[in-house]
Amino acid sequence: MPLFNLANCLALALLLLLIGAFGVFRRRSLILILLSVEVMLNGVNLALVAFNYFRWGDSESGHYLYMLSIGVAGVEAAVGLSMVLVLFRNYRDITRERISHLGETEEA
Amino acid sequence: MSPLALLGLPAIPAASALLLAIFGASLPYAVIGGIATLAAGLSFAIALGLLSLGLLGTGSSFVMDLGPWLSTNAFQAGLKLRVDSVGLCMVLLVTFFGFLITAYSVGYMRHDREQSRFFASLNLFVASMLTLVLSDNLALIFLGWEGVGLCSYLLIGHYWDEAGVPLAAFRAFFVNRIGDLLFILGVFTVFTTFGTLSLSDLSAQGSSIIVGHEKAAFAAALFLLGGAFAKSAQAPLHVWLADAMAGPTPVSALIHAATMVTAGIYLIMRLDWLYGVIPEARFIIGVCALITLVIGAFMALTQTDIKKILAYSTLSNLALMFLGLAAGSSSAAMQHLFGHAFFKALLFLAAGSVILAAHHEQDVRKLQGVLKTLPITRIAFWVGCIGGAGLIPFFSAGFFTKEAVLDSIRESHLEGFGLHIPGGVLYTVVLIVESLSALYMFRLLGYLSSDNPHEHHDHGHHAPKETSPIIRLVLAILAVAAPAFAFFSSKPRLVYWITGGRWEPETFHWAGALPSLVASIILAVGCFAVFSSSTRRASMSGLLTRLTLGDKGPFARKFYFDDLYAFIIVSPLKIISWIMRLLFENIFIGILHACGWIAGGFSLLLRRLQSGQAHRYAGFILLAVVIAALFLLRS
Repeated sequence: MPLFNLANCLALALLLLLIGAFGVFRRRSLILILLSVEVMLNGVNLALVAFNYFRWGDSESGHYLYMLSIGVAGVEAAVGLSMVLVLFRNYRDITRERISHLGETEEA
Repeated sequence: MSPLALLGLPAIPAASALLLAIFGASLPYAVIGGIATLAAGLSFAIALGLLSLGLLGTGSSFVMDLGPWLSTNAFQAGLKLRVDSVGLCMVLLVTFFGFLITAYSVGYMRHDREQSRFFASLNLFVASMLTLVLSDNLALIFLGWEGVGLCSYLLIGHYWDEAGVPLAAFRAFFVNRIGDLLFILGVFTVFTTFGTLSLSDLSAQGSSIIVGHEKAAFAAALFLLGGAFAKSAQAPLHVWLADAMAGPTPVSALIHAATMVTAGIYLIMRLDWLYGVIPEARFIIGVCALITLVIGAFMALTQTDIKKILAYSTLSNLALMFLGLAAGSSSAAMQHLFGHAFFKALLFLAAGSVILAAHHEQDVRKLQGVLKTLPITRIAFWVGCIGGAGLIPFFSAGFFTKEAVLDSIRESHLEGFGLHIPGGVLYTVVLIVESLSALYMFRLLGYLSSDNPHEHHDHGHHAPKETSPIIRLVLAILAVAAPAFAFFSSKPRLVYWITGGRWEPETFHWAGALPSLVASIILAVGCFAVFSSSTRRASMSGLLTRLTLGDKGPFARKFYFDDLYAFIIVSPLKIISWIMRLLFENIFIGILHACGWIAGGFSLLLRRLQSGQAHRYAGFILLAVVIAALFLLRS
């Protein structure tokens, strides 16, 4: 039984997603959170490609969607990084706890 | 003639009303008056054209069916206009007076305010009244019924920023709303009982259809009677009519004398098949009308406002028509409706001319001798007063018509609720009260032709002059038309026209009418002699004050009807509103505050979630995604 099958690919994708999620929740630096989001995204993209390869091998629409997703992820990273830059300019700090002005329980 | 002509009758004045209401403010006065008069005149021309159908004096009718109007599974009302012999008479009356009085108003309102609104309301009134007269089913009649009430309210309130006017208008509207409510309850009752609202269908089946529905028919008769009483100002719903005189005088002539207030009589006449077989309903009509007759005649005797004298006289005459209906003779009532319209419109228009000439002075004590310098108005006033008092047969518009009602009263009797009023008794009472009309008419005339017009000379006023040629023209036309009608009303033809040739006209009893005629003439001459001389009047006034029990007497208090309503309606309302206010300020406000606190408490809890920590939000999103995924997997 070959290792390269749908179930293993999906397990890898889930692993990537969980690693990313763990990063999002545990990391305090906004840059690392952004990185973790990218990892989660890659998990999802892997699932997309795997489904296309194993289930609809004669079609390539999953690959196209993956390309699109990569593009969007790049844009998202660019926007996110520029936001982090602006935040750093204003706060001299990019830990997530500092940036909570929308909150109701504002710690003064 | 095309059936569309029937639609044109109300549609033309309605279109003109719409036009004036929208564009009137930017039009010059001559155009406004011209359009309004033209519309009313076109309606009158169509009505004259309808004469060519030969409906008068026959039982046939002319119908224009525009198909269904209100249509549900349970209820249909057609947009159906229908004119028969009496309907055509009524249409002629409404359009004739509508046209003449609109033309008169052009002269009367020249220096007045808000003229476009006035003429729009006047045209809308003519349209609504024609709808009321022409429509074949009670639902459409209700539309016209509401329309005339609305126009009445708008026109009474014409001088809306003067003291007492808004209250008078509100009062008329309020009392009429009570009547309208009763009316529509009556319409519902008729529909649920008989299954149709079409008057032609109902009257074609005749009185036999109420067999088996006696209770419901009685309820319907009472409800509709309430509506008719409010519109035609019968006790106990008569209180609005005297106040309605706050409107401009042409309005009083058209709406509150000649046409709208007769709508109740017209309605009851149309419902002959119902009231003919319910003696109790006619008993109630008779008793209420008798009370109104007495109130109207006695109040007219003591009023000092020229228009209120005429208003109470209208009350009394309307009561006489209702007595004719109570006696079961709707043809007599309709005859008097026509006769009354002629002399009362003439009187009101002449009074309007006087009021305009005297710069809106309405107190007869200050109008002494005013007629001396107003030749046309003087003639019109004399013709109107003789007509109203019924002094000269073949000349007084009200003479034969009044006698017709009196005859029908004598030959009938009222019974119901275990009581029995013989016709002879009723006849005698009505005759005595009616002879008072000679007194109040000639008291008014005495004041106006008094030999002592000191008031105007003292203040250096110019003697009042006839104001406008069109006013004089209309007065002249009516001063000729009223005696012409009087002559015509002595002929059996009028009865044929009203009944559609159904009933045998009665022959006139000169012997019965002669004593009352002589008494009326003596009263009129005596009253005129007293009131046209200031010295004789002064000696009489002390006696009159004692007779009417002074300022606290029943005359000054309008027979306590206002006090009665203040006691049984206004005071309880005030008490209820006081209690409501206490409840509101304590309990309801408390409940509102409690709601606020509860909401505030929840928000205290919920705002904890709004931490501002991005990873918590992300956590919630993930939680939601997991829950959604589980939910999807399960199904």
